[in-house]
Amino acid sequence: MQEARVLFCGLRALGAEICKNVILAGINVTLMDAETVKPEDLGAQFFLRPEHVGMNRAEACLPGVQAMNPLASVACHPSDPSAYPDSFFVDFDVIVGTDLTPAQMRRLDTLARQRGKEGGREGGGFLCAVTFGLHAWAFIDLGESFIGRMDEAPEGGRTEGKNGEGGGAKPLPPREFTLAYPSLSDALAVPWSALKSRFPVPRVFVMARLLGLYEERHSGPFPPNATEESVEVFVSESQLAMGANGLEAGFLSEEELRALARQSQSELSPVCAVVGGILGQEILKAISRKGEPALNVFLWDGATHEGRVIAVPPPKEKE
Amino acid sequence: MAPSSPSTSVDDARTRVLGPTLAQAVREAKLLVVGAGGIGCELLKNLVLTGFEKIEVIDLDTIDVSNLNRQFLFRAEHVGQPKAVVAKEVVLRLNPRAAKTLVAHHANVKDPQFNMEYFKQVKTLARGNGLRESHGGRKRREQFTLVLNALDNIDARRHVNRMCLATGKAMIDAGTMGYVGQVNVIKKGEAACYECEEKPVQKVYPICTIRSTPDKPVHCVVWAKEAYKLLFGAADASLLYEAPDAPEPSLYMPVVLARPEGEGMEAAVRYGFRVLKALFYDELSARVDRGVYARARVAPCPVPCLGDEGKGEDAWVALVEDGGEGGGEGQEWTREVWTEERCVLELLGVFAALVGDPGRRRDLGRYDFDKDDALAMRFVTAATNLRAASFGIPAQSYHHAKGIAGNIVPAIATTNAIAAGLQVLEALKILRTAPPSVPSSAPPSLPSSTIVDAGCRVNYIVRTYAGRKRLLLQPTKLHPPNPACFVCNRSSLDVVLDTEASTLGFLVEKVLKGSLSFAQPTITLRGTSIIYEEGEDADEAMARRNLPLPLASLPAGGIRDQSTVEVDDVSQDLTLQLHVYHKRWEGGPEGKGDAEAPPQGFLLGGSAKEALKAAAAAAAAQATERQRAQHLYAAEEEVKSTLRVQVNRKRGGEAREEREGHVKRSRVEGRGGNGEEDGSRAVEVIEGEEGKGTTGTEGEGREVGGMGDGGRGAFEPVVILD
Repeated sequence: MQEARVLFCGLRALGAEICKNVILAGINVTLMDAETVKPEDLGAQFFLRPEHVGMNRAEACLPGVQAMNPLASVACHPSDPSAYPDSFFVDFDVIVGTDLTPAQMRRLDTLARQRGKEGGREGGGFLCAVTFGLHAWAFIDLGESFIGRMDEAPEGGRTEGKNGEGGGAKPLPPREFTLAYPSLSDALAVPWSALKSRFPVPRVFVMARLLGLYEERHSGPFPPNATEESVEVFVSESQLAMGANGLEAGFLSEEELRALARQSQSELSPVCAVVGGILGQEILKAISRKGEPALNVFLWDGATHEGRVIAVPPPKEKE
Repeated sequence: MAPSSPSTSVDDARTRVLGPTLAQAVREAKLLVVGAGGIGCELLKNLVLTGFEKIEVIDLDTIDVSNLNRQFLFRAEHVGQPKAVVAKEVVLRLNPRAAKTLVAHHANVKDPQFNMEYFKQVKTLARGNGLRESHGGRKRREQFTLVLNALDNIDARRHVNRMCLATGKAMIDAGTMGYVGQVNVIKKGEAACYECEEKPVQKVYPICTIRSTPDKPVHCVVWAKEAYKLLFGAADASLLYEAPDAPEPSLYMPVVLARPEGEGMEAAVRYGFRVLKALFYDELSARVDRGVYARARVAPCPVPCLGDEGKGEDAWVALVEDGGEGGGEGQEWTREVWTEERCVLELLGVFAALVGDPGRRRDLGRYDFDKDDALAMRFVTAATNLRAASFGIPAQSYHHAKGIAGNIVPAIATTNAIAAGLQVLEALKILRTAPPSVPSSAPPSLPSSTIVDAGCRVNYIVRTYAGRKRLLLQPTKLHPPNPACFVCNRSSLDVVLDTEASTLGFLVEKVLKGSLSFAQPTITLRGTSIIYEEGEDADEAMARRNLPLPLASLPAGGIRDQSTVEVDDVSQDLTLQLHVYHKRWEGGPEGKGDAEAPPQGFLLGGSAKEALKAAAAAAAAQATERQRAQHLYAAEEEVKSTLRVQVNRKRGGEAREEREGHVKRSRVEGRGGNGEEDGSRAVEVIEGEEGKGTTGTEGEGREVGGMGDGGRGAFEPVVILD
C-alpha cells in the first residue's frame, strides 16, 4: 500500500475529493493539471483559496494535498497527459481521470491495460469519472484479469446460517476471485438499449454518454453559459444519438436534455463528496486487492439517491 | 485537458445546478451542525462549498493527533485546540463571506445553554450569556431551519433527537461504522425518530482512553491489538508507535525497536521480557512519576511481577524453557482467567514462537491480527489482562477477549465522506420544497409537512454491491413513526429488575440515564409524590436521601412489582410511564450465577413479558458455542439484514425472497440495553471488519507530522449504525 502511486489527471472538485480520500489512506499521489485556477473553481474545491486564482491548478493544490499526509509523497506536473510519453504512465498503480478529453481517456485506459498485461498481478488500473449537476458516472478498468480476495466474514456467516447443524464454527478463509474488465473502447461501443435488464436502461448512463458524445463531436465539453441555440443543438443531436442507440426519442424529454446541457460542467460539492467517497474506496480496494471492486460502471442518480454498479457491456448470461 | 470554460462566479456555478430559488434558500437557511469530528469536518466543508453561510457548530472535543488521518480539516499544529473552533476557521477560508454568520461552540450539546429556547432560537438573548462568538447578541436570533447531526455517540444523538422533536425541527442524522453507514431524515410526526428503532449496542473508543486512561476491558483489548501490531505487524501503523524523533518518547519504543540480540529461542524470550517490562512496568511507572495520572481517581499500578520486585529476566527465561509456555489450545472453550504470571508466560511464549522461530521471524512486520489465529489471540488475551490489571479493570478469559476483539470496527474516512455528502443532498431536498421566505432576509421556515413531500430518504451505504439492483448506495422510504416509541409517541416502557436489591441510584444512573438517555429526570410516584428531581431548584437533600434506598423502601409506598413510575425530563420535553416488574435473579441484582440474568441487572422493553421471553432466549443462545459463533457476523451483513427486515416490513410478500438466508438475531435486550464490554453476553455481537482495518488500507493515513502518535489504525469513537 505504501509504495502504491496514484495519478490524478484533473483537479476540479471531484478530483480533489477522490485525491483527499486516497492520500488520507497513506497512498502516494501525483497531481497533473494543465489548467489555471479560475474564480469558479473555488466554489467546490477545498484545496483552492482566492489567492490561488491565476496559478496552475495542480501546483496550487500541492501544499494542501501534502499537508493532509506529510509522510506520503506528492508529486506535481503542471501540464497535460499528452505532454508525456507512454512510458511515463507505467509507474502508476491507478490513473484517475476527472477532467480528460475522450481521446485522453482512451489513451490512458489503453496504457493502464498494457501495464496490466505486462505486470501480471500487479497490473495498473484506470478510472475516470464526471459529475454533471446532481448526477455522476464513473468508469473503472482494472485490467483483463484482476485477482482479489473477498472480505472474509460475510462468506463464513452465510455458510453458517444456511447449514444450520453442519459445518465448523470457523469462518471460511477469504475466497479469491478473478474479474475481467472490458476496455473503455469496448464499453463505449455498447448500444445503450443493450443495458436493459430487469431494470430499464439507466438514465444517468445515457446522460453521461450524451455529454461525452457532444464533447467528441464539438472537440470540447458543452460550455456552461452557452446560448439557447447551442442548447437546442445539444437537444436535437442527443435525440438522434438516443435513436441510434436503440432508445425511443423521448427516453429523456427535451426539458431533461436542456437541463442536462445547462448543468453539464457544474460540480456540486456534496455530489462530489458522495462520488469521491465511493471512488476513493474503489481505488483502495483495487490497490489492496481486498474486497470486491465495482465492475465496471458506477452511476449516481442524484434524483433517486441510488448509487448503482452496472456491467457495460452487460454479462452474457443472465443471472 | 478539456478547454476551460469562460469565467463565471462561484455563485453562478452553484445557481446553474441549484436554480436561483434554491440557491437563495441555501444562502438564507440557518443550520445547526452538532459534531465537528469525522463526519462533521466533511459536512462543514460540503455545506460551505454548497453556499450555506449561516451555520452554528457545536463540538465538545479538542483535536487529537489520531484525528488527523480522517478529520481532514485539522493539521498537526491544531492538536489540542477545540474542534469546533478550528473547523470553523478552516472552512471560513473556503467562503469568507460567512465570516459573521459561522459560529463555533466548544461545548457539550447537552449543556443547559443549548436548551429548547436555543433550538427554537426565538428568545431575545442578552449579550454575554455564555454563547461564545454569538452574533447579534441583543437581537432576536434567527430560527434554525435544519439540524444536522454529525455525532459519534448514541447518547448525544438521542438528546438532539429529543430536542428536535420538542421544537419541531427537521433533523438529518448520519452514522457510520466501518464501511457501512446511514443517513436518516427525522421530523416529529412524519417519520420514525432516532429512537423508534432499537439501536445496536454502542461501542466508543476514544483514542486517549486507549493510550492513557482505559476503564473498560474493551479499551485494553484495543490496546493489546495495537501492541500486537507494534511488535509483529506494521509497527508504524500501530496506535502505540512513535517516530524516533517524537517529543517525550515513550520508554518502550527504543526497547521494541532494538529487536533481539542474536537468533534462537532464548534471545527471543529475553527480548520479549524486556519489551514486556517496558510496556507494562517502566512506561507506566514513568507516566505516574511524570504526574500524568495526578488527577485520575486511581493511579495505574505497574505490573509487579515484571518490575524490580519480580523474579527477574533470567528466572522468566528459565520458566519458559521449562515448558511454562501455556498454549492457547482449547482455551476457546474454557472461561478460565489467567493469572498475571500466566499472562507473562503466555506473552513470552508468543515471542518465542514468532521471534524465536527463524521461519516465522522472517515474517515479522507482516503479521495481521486475526482473532482465529491462536497465537495472536494468546498475545491479545494476555496483554489485555496485564493492562487491565494495571488499571484495576476485570480480567478476561481467552474466550471473552476473543469475543471483544472481534467486535472492534475502525472508522473509515471514505464512509464519513459519503455520509456527509448525502446529508447535504437531503438538506437541499428539504429546502427545495420550502416556500420562499418573507422578508427575504429571514431564513425560510418550513411548513408543517416537509420531509415526506420533499422526497427525503433513508440512505444506506454498504461496502459490496449485492442484490438485484447492485447498489452501493441504497435509498429507502422514510420509516413511519413507531407507535410503541416512548420518545416520539409517548408510549410506556416496562422494566424488570430486583426492586428489593436495586437502589434508586441504580434506577436513575443505569436505567434512566445510562440506557434511556434522560438528562435531568424527575421521578413521581402515584401521580403526586416526587421522590427524585434534578436541575435548577431541585430538592437536593431529597435526592441524597433517596438515592441509596432500595426501590421498594422508597417513600410514598416505594417502587414495587407492577408499580407505575412517571419520569419527566423538562429539559428534553419528555414524559415516560415506566411500569416496573419485580424479579429476583439468583445471586442478587448483578445476577451472577443465573443464566437468564441480564448482565446489567435489569431488562427493559416494550413489555415485560417480551423482555423476559427474550432473556430466556438469550440464555438459550448462549448455551452452545456453535451458536455463539453464529453471532459473529460482519457488521455489514448485520446491517443489511436489518435493513431488509425494515424494508420488507412494508413490502410484505417480497420479504422471504430477500432474506437470503441471513441470520437475523432478535435484539433481546429491548430498548437501550447496554452490555457493551461483555463479548458473549452482550446481546449485539457485531463482528467488526477487523481483517480489513489492520492492513492499513482504508481510512488509515500514515503517521502524521512526526508527532509520535500513530495516525492510523486509530479507533476514533465509533458509532454503531442505527
